[in-house]
Amino acid sequence: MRSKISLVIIIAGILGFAACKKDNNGTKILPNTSEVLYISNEGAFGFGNASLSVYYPKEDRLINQAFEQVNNRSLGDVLQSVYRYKDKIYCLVNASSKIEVAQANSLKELAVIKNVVMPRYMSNEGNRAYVSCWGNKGEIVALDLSTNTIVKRIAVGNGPEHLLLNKQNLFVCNSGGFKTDSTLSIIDINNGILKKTLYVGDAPMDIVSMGDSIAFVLCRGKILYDASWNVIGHSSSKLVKISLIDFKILKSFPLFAKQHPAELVLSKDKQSVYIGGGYGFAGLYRFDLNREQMDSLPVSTKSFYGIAGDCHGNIYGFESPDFTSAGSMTIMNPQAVIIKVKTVGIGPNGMCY
Amino acid sequence: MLVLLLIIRTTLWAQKLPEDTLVLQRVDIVANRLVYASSNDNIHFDKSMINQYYTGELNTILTPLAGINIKTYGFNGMSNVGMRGTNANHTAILWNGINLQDPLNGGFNLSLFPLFLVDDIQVHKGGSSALFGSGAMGGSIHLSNKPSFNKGLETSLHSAMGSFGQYKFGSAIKYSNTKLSSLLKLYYSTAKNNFPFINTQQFAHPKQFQKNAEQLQYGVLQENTFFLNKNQQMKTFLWWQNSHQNIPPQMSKFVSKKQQENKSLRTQLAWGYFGKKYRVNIRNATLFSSLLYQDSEINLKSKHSSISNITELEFIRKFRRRDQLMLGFNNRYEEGKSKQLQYNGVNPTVNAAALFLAYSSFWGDKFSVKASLRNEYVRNATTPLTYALGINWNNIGNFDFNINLSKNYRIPTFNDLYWVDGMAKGNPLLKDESSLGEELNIAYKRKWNKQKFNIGTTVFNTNYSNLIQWIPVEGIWSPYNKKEVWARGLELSALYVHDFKKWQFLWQAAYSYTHSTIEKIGDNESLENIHKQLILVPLHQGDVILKLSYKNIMVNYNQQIEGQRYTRSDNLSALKAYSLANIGLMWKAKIWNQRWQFLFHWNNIWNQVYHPMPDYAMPLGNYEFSLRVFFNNNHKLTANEK
Repeated sequence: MRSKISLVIIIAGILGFAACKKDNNGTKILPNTSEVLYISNEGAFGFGNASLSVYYPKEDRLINQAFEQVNNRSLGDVLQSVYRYKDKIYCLVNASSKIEVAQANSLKELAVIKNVVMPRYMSNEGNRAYVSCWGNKGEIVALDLSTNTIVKRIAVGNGPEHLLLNKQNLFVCNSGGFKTDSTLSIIDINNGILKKTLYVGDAPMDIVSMGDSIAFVLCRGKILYDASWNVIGHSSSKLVKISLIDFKILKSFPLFAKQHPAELVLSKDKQSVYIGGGYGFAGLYRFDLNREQMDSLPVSTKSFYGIAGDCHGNIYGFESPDFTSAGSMTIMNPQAVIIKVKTVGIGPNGMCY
Repeated sequence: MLVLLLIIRTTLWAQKLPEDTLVLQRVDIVANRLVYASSNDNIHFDKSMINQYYTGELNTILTPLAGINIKTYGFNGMSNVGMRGTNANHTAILWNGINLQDPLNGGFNLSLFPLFLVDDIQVHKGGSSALFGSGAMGGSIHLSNKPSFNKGLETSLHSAMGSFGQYKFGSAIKYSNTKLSSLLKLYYSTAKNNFPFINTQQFAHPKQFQKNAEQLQYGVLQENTFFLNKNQQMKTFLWWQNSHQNIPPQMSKFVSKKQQENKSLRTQLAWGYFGKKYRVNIRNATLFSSLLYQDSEINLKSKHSSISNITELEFIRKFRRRDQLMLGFNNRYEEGKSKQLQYNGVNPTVNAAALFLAYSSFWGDKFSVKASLRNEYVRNATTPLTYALGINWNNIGNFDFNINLSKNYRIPTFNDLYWVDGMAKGNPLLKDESSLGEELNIAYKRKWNKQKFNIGTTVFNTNYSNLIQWIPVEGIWSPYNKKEVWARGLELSALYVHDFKKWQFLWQAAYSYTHSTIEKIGDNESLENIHKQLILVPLHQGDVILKLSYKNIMVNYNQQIEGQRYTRSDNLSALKAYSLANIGLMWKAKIWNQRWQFLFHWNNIWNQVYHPMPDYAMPLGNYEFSLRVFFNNNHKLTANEK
């Protein structure tokens, strides 16, 4: 009798274990919900352990290494950014020079786009997407999202970063990458021809628009070295206001003399931008776009590696302490009051929704 | 399997096989400092054992061994070694007594060192090699050339071919009489390394072939040993090598356009005087190496080079019958050269002068003490006194006991101190790393009839302080002395040999447990890292070797077990454990009046998918066949050569 009971327990245990196993579609681990954030974790360079975390704000549920759990493999080496379009997400894996395409709700892998050398950020207009790439001396790669194929390559400046699509123009921040640059490339997306190269200032990193006619470009500035790599000064960071109509600089606002922020987050009401992110930049600052003035005090004193915003106006700060262990995501309300802090993957740098 | 290993067997001592050990009647002026190494936990490969792997590189002979952690970046890729829970720059690699660790980064690529070049390898685990100076905190590997005399002209040719387009050729030309031994070795190898593998890191897990993995290596070694008179000996070494390697993409990447070219020239001149009571050794070595790294995908081209000059003097006084006292002086000048190292527009240099003292004393056959002290003057400061002390009780019944204490250090490399570019900056204020270690070895040995059984265990404990760690501060990666690591563990080894008539059977097994944890973190590190195992240091390693030989035919089977290795400092993810099996077959014969050696290696015979490093592909089963012919009509096989 005892042996029969043991057998029943063993079989029940096996069945129970089988029932807990995830299925290949990932539906068991990912809730079916309308609101989801995709957090890009760079991972440790050279280790191929970039990861994607997904966060469900309503349920306050976070799943780390979500792509790996669903597809039984890692994303690759250094996930630079993640981009969502309709029911798909696009993971731009920088050091692996590829874009992984997956279903947005289940994260099931769908395709991979090769021959994008060191992809950084993505933007799209319908099925036509544009990816900034550091490879090939800096280029924009145009993709057909219906076939996940490359349709055009457009040479731009060194180290292209964030993009802005406005009407039929693509604005590309040429940060310099491994070299230096100070320009914005403006491309006519109808024919893929470079319309203009606009000098804005040292190391343009990010760009946000305020309506259809005005944009703000964040120039990080740079550290100046002598021939022996001794620091001899800085070129200050600044915010540059440009016209999206005639591509001219309207105004320039100096930001920090010795600090070099890397990212902008537009507030939900589009009346201000948050400035922060990047290696070693301390604090999160708010710049009022109407008054055209930055607050004297930071809204947060934390050093975020990356920043982002969601549809509710919340601000997300990502801390990446050592790139060999978990980083964190700090969720703040529009006044930058901390709501909660979550542990995510290695080297978190941003998110999309 | 590991539990089974623990129960029925135990670090490799087959290397100590008397059957394979050739005791040459020679005087050796380069390796004698090893007699002061205080620990018994050593692994020794003599010439006959190296012969079984002579077409391979240094990593191939060390990889299967428990307690030696080889990090291999892909098949035939860069390979470095850590022991006792440390990193690559904590293991000194000494070639005929001269440390080959790169002054720029402290590393040494084992895969660029052909085994064909050396006759003797000794691996000393732990800090017992404090006498050899900076960089030997985790252990030391001693590579030596052993001259032979009075054999006339001996020449050999070998060629090997293996899977994935591997071809190797080499030739050794030796001439020796009673006073002179001269040797010239030439070698050339090429490989495509285009092995197939299932890429589990890519969409749909495609089967693909490794790309951009071609390699080419060639070099020359010239060595002379000659007696000036019955008391004096001179040695000269000249080793030039060039290697070109394409660097394949990691598994998560599709394309790589990376390549590197390593060039090195190493020379050494040594003189020795041998009196009844005194011995004097003087040597001078000059080492040059350069690395050109290119990645056309991102238009990157960088070249780094270094030059070192080492002068060493040893004075040895013999006492009583076996006691020895050695007083030595070492001066090492190093210069680095690269755009990123031009601090204040000048190439960095360092001159380190060291005094060392060592004593080995024997009380009868059972008790001995070995002690060494070393102090170094570098960068206008004296390093803390380092030492090693070993106490041995041998032949207490069938037991041997050894206790060893040591203190070691490592001075920061040029990269640590002076590297500067837009993203990283060295720290000229870095302190030396240091370690304090203790270990206990117990061995049981028994011989009966034609059988032999050894079993041994080593328990070790080492605390590493001021470990250098690069961390991002204000946007720039810089090194700081932040980390402290505590490594402790256990090693077990067993050996059984049975000779009967012309047969010999050998079984050996080893297991190592290495618990190496972070005890103090850097300012910006996660608290989650405290007390966690260091990344890529396996907790468990094991190996089993079975060998059967009959006359001139030998077959061996080797099973290597590598435990899981964490890939994150918070230990939240790890590489899977794996076990690999290899088979070797060797046949020596006399054909057409010449000696021939046929060697066949079949690696990974069970086609295991494994990853020694994350994101690097490795091949399934692969083989290598080699043929070597020795031309010397007058020479007869010695017992050892058979």
